[in-house]
Amino acid sequence: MSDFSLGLFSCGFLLFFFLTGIEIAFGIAIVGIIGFAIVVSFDAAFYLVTQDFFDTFSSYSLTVIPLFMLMGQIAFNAGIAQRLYDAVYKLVGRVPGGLAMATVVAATLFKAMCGSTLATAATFSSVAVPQMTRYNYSKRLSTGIVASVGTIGILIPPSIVMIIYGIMTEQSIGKLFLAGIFPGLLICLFFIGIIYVWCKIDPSLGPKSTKTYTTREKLSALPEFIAVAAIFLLVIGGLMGGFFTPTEAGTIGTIAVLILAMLRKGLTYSGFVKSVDESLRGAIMVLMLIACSIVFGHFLAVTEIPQFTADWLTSLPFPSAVIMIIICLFYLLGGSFIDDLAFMILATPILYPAVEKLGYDPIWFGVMIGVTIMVGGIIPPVAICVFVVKNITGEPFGVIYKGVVPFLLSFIVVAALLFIFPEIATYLPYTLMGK
Amino acid sequence: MKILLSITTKVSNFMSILAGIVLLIMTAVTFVDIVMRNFGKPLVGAYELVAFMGVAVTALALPRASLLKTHVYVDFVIDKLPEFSQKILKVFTRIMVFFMFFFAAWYFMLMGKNFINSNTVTMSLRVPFYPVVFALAAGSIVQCLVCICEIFTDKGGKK
Repeated sequence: MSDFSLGLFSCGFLLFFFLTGIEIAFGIAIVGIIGFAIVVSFDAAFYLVTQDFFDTFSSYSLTVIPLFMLMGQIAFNAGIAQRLYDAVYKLVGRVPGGLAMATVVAATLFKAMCGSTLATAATFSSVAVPQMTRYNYSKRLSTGIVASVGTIGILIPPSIVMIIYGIMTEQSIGKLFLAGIFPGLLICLFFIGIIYVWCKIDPSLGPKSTKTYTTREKLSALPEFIAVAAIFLLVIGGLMGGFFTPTEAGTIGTIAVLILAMLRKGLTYSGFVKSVDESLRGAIMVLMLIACSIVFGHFLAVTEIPQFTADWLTSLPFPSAVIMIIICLFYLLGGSFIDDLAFMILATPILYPAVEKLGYDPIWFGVMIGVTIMVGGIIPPVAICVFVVKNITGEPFGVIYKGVVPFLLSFIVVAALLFIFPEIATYLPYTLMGK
Repeated sequence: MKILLSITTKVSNFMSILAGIVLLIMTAVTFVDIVMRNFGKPLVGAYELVAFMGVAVTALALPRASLLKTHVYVDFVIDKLPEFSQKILKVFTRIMVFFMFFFAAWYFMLMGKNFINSNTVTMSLRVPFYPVVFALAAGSIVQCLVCICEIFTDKGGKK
């Protein structure tokens, strides 16, 4: 068997190997080690593993991951989401479907402080769904919007997905963060529009709240927004202006969220310990995925699979836009069967050379991958955000999936708009940070 | 087996506490560096210290993360299989992971030894590299123990 056939066989075998229930990261590394041992030698394979692991874990750029996770976990455990939700509710609660809209706005703002998609979905499952149930909102709408809005964290900075993509493809994380803002906000606007239309068609889905707030009460909600906006501007502005490295931005964000949590007296000692523990576990999951995929990537490099894939894809007799759609669908399909983030880490080294060869903008491609990962997070069989909402609310999958369907439209429209007008993603980073 | 599980859990938890402390020190070092930089006195070697601590955090936090099944895995097929088949696959995957980390631990030891022999140190602070490499070896060994525990128990939560 030639090295190339072995590489091809390994890729296919890997997908079956995942079905045995092995941890995806470890599965990737094991197949990479066996492949490398066959092509080179057993000794070389393990020297490669230890060197790759050491290089990955000692990489300064990757220390950003535990720090942004810590920032998100502190925001999560300090109850900041609850206050944001209450603040938005005071402003839009009386509109039909207003609580669902408040969920979208509060989750987007919360996400600006919290790097985790799952933490956002989990927080709003516990904060927003009971509130909507109290006001007789349909479970379809309440759980559907919470699952969908959980994914917004993939585009709204600081995004772990963008950080990992940036590191893997050697793109500026600051630019990727900026590139995600407009598409992310656009998806939020579509969410709000869909809620409005859906509740107009069927008012029983989201009856308007009967509780009224005075102007004074509404104004009292403003400090919550100001605090969040200040932290967001500090982190993203510092990164964008070149004042901080991403790791430093994560640190500044962590300290700022910690100060905010302490000022609001929302974080207990046990909550802080829990934040550190959960951020460690989340970071290990991501770091192991990266380290193991680097091992596999080195094996694939020996077999020349990435180069062949790039040559093959670019030689297809289709316009480059069609090839790009195929690549995006590949991400979507792969991410639907294994975890989306894991699939991105696995597939990007193979497909990225083709994207470069096709002449697509790497920053734009990062956002496109982000949108496909968002969709993957809410469609079966591995719909991680839906799983989180189901675990917390106890609603059947069928109800949540039915609620998610209308919001899928937002992703499709935004993906199409990104194809037609790539500037939606690239305008902000290239205007503010240069080409 | 209960004793092994108890020891593994205690060791993993202890290592995780150390990892948490290192993470907080890492945050503090970065923060102090940013502040001091504004006074024209940045911490010398802050970047390499943070990178160095990054290795320690990963090595120390890995076993507990595995014990609590934090890693991502595909469960929608295996969950539908009969219990016996699930057991067989579980033993098979644990053995594979065990051997991966067993050999990784051995090669990390060799790497650490090489670092001692060649006196490999960080560029600015001249801190030797080998302690964190041995931490990676230790993390890998405890990970092997986690694999053995997983074969015989249902320890850990669902994804």
